[in-house]
Amino acid sequence: MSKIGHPFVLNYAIIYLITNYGSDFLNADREYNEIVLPKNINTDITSIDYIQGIFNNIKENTILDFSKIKFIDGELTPFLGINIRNLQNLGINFKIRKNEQSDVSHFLTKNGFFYKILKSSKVWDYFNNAIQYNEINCRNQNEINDYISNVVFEQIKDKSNKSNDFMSGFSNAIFELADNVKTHSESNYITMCGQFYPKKKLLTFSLGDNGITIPRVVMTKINDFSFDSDSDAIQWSTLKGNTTKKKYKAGGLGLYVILKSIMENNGSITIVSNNGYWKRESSGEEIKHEMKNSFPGTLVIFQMDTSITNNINVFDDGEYELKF
Amino acid sequence: MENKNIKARNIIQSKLGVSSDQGQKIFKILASNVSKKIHTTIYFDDIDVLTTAFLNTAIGNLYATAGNDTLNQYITISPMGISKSKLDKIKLVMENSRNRLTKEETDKEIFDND
Repeated sequence: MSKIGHPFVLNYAIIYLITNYGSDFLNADREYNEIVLPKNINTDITSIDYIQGIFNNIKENTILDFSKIKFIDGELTPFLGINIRNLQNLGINFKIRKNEQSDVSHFLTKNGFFYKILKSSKVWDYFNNAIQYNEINCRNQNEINDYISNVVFEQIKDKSNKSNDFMSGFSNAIFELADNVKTHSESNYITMCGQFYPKKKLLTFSLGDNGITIPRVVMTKINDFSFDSDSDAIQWSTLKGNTTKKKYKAGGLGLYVILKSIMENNGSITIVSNNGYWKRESSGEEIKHEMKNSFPGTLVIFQMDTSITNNINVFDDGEYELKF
Repeated sequence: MENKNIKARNIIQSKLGVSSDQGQKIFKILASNVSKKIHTTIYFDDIDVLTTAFLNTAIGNLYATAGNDTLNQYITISPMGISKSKLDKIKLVMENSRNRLTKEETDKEIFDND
């Protein structure tokens, strides 16, 4: 018997592989191409554009190798999820390779991403500051509300870290974005995930969809304007009163209200849609880029201070006049 | 003049005022009462989330049905029990719709599209 065929050596080899790469390697198939994801996955334009290029070049069944990732922004998992879902809808199958020992693998397992998107390693408890990855029908108000109340707010355990104004502002932002998806992108699902940083009292969160992109909606419906770039079209959609709705319908405030609320509370917002990448900091600094690789949907990433308390006043009759 | 009080919470049967479908229920009642010359006071207290999608339909689209004076004569939006951020949002929707819609322009738009 050769040394490699010895039962002890084989058992040891299998235990080693399961320990280091997870059981999913057992399903690895020679018909699958393999793609190694980069060490660092973050919300910078360079990182997003690079990863988008990887996904846009996938044409066949693929093993996605997560084992080399050393850092991932938690709020970027919807970006990965939407890309994977789109390709799955085209009939492409995915398997994963992961390093069970790594923090990133631990994070993506415990926030539900691996299970939800790839049906791998179901673990439903939470890990540190990870907020559960979820895909929800954008018309299902109760399910969205349950996610906000029982997952996002529950994760911010210390009540001193979450003000009523933050909870109200966050809920508003999510429902405004969900309505935008329903009304404009014609997608049925929204994908959400985030991360809470207790010391900074900061929530980073993203909501995305794989429907018609903002630049396409704007450029198709607004014939009066021509935009030089997709990021210009995204910027236009965030301005007060701008809407693609017919002129005899009220509209044009959803993104503006979200933007205003986030800017007033030292946050930031990034919108990725088609080839456009647009970011606004509370300082007023604005970044606009055209990506080489188009994202097949819209992703809104934002940061909010969870301790804000600036709009708490409740009014009695006569104190505030609303006139038509 | 006949007076009616309505609570948005009871009309939409929810603490979430987030969709234009829900807003449409409020709009229909208010527009109908204006046409019947009934004064309505509407209350938005006890609603946790008010989005612009909801308010655009419930309140904003009223500008397409009557002039400002008529709307002020027959509709009062009570600020009672509402936070400043929500009131600011209602005010923003009203301001935006006022600039965007007038009955005359809307009639012309609808007529032209027909």
